[in-house]
Amino acid sequence: MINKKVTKKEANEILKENNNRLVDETLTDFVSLQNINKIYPNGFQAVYDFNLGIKPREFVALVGPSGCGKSTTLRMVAGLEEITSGALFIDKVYSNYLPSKDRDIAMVFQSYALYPQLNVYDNIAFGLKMRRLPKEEIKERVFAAVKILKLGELLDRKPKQLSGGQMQRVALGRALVRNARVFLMDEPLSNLDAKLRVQMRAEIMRIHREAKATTIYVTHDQTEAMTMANRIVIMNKGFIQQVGKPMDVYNDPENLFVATFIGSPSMNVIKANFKDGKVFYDKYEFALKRGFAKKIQSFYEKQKESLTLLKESENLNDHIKEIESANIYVREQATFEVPKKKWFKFSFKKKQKKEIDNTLEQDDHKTLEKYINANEKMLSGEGELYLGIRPEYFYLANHHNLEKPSKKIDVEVEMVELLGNEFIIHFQWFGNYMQAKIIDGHPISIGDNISLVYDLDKLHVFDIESGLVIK
Amino acid sequence: MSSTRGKKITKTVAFITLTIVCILMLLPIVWGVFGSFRRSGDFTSYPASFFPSKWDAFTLDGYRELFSKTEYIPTHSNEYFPIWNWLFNSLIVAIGGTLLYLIIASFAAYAFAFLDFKYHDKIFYFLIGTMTIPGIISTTPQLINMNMLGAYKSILGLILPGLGGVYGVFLIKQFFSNIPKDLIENARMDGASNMRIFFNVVLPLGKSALFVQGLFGFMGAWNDVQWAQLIIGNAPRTTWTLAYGLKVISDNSESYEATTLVLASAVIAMIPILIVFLIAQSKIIEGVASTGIKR
Repeated sequence: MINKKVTKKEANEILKENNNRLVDETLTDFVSLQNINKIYPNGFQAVYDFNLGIKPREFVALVGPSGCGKSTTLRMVAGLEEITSGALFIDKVYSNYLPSKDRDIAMVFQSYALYPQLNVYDNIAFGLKMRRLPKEEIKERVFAAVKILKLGELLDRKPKQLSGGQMQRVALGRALVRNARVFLMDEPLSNLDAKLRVQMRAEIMRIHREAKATTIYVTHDQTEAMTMANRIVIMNKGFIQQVGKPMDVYNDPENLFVATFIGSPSMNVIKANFKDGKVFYDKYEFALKRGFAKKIQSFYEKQKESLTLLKESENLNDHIKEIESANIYVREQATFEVPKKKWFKFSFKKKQKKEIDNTLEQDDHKTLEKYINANEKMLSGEGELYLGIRPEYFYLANHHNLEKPSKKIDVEVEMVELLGNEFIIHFQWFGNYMQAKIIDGHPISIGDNISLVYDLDKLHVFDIESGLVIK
Repeated sequence: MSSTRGKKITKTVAFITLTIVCILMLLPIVWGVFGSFRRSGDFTSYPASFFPSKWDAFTLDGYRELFSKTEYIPTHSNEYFPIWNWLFNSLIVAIGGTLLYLIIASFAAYAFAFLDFKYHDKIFYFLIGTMTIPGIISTTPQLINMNMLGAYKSILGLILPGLGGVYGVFLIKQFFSNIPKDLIENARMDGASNMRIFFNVVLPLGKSALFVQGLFGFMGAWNDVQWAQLIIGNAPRTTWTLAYGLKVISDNSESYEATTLVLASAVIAMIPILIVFLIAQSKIIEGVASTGIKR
């Protein structure tokens, strides 16, 4: 019944027949998102085929650069955004069309969304008043929340008189008093300064534990996601890139995007040449694990199959977009340009839609062709690969205890960032800008010539077109 | 050094200009207020003077006359000024009409700002478009409408046409649109109905827009003469409004004899507006408070 396509009106009728609830008893997840798509009325698709099961009391972080669809996903769970297709279950109840207030969720907004005309007590009590709870109970619950959040002396203050951290705590309190089973948090810490942010991180984790709630936490800050969540969902351009425990995501990224997005400073990526089972850059040959050439071979054979299947696919465009979304994460850089004054702006009507669709389809087929060609080239034993190594896995050549160190790399230090007991060294290696994080007592300064080695076990290899990891 | 001096000069010039404009604006009013205490004959001898020329020329006759002709005397039917009725009618029209309009306009504005119904932007643009039609064009149809509704020759006919105004909806909607959406969404998730969101969240934050619109609406209704003449011009004098009544008084007294009377009536008409303006002004400033949202 749930997977059948129905209009909103029909769905409402079905709901009415079933006492406003559609329950799927087979689900073990507390919050379950199945094949969820979100297409805005203007045709922009923000979320593609989102699948995720969230266990009770789990702390899940959705993380990704801005515009990756994480907030949209959260808002769909909250009921603030309509779900275009797919199914959402909260506590086994089909919730696609359930009004937010009946979903048993509480949300913390980035802007805190405190009512400026109400004092702290009334702000926290607002949701309970709307639910027409008895006054005594409201008081009890508010005081309980106030105790957890240590807001005691602020109860009669207006939001204007609070600091950012205090406003944040009030916003948390408002979610807390609801005794909701799911907490949704939309970048709750991004308006705080760095020190307070670290403090509030711990606070939120504590609240999550004490309230025994399930939390879905949206952030663009990968450090926040790594430190707080039981599980991370990394998104880009509307696609899930990887779901996993923070450590797994860090150690075994599934594609280039995850590899470069997670970790700070981000992973060094080098475009290397591949020929006859050997990977090298200029004259430097990368030592690979034994039997890795075979792995490369089998990876591309597998990929060939899936790419040929794509040829017949109806929504090729989506697949291409998915492949593209897995590529290197580049922090958006400001472009400098003197703004031009426009006195007149002419706009012409767009060409007929059908024509555009046709060219788009042709473009997609061309792109696919490009992928297949690259794939063929790799299979024939020649081509290019991305190699990734995290800055943390560089060591000074004369000062390491690695089992499998790489060959020495001699570089000149271009810049040093001192972080207390460790250095971040910026250097160029065959024209690639790279960073190394070195934990070592002895000082390194700009202009020094040093020899570095890296941990061979920590070298990641990625396909150049799809960005997928080869392992 | 030079920049602060330049600033000072700019400030001084601005101050002087504003003072001159203020004086020019205030002069007729001051002249009128003082004039309402001068004997009619005094005007002929010293028209440019502000004050009564001598103590004898000071009088309260204008006000006395205005408040003394409240009884209907068939022989002097042209000099029947039921001013208390007029005041009452004016208050009903101005306050009642404004309040009714504020309710309608703010509900409409809420819908346009926060509710997602089909074609809501197109309907809004259409309404805005109707503002381009000059009011004079709709006068005759409105008159026919009022007649059909049985509101001709009654103060209801003064209230009803104003309730369909677009400008207030536009003004209040623009103000509501500045209220952060998060607040509305949060309230909705807390289980608040639209009515409760409107009264508990939107209204407290958007009240200054309502004060502004209320002030404009009140002044418009209070000072309205043209439409009043069409609707209640032929009605018994007891259903007139103050503005129209005073207009009739000044129309009937073109001779210098009644200048005092005319000016006195003008002062009377001015007082409520002054009070309303003073109250609303302080409220508007009070209402423009921080929204309490960190951005």
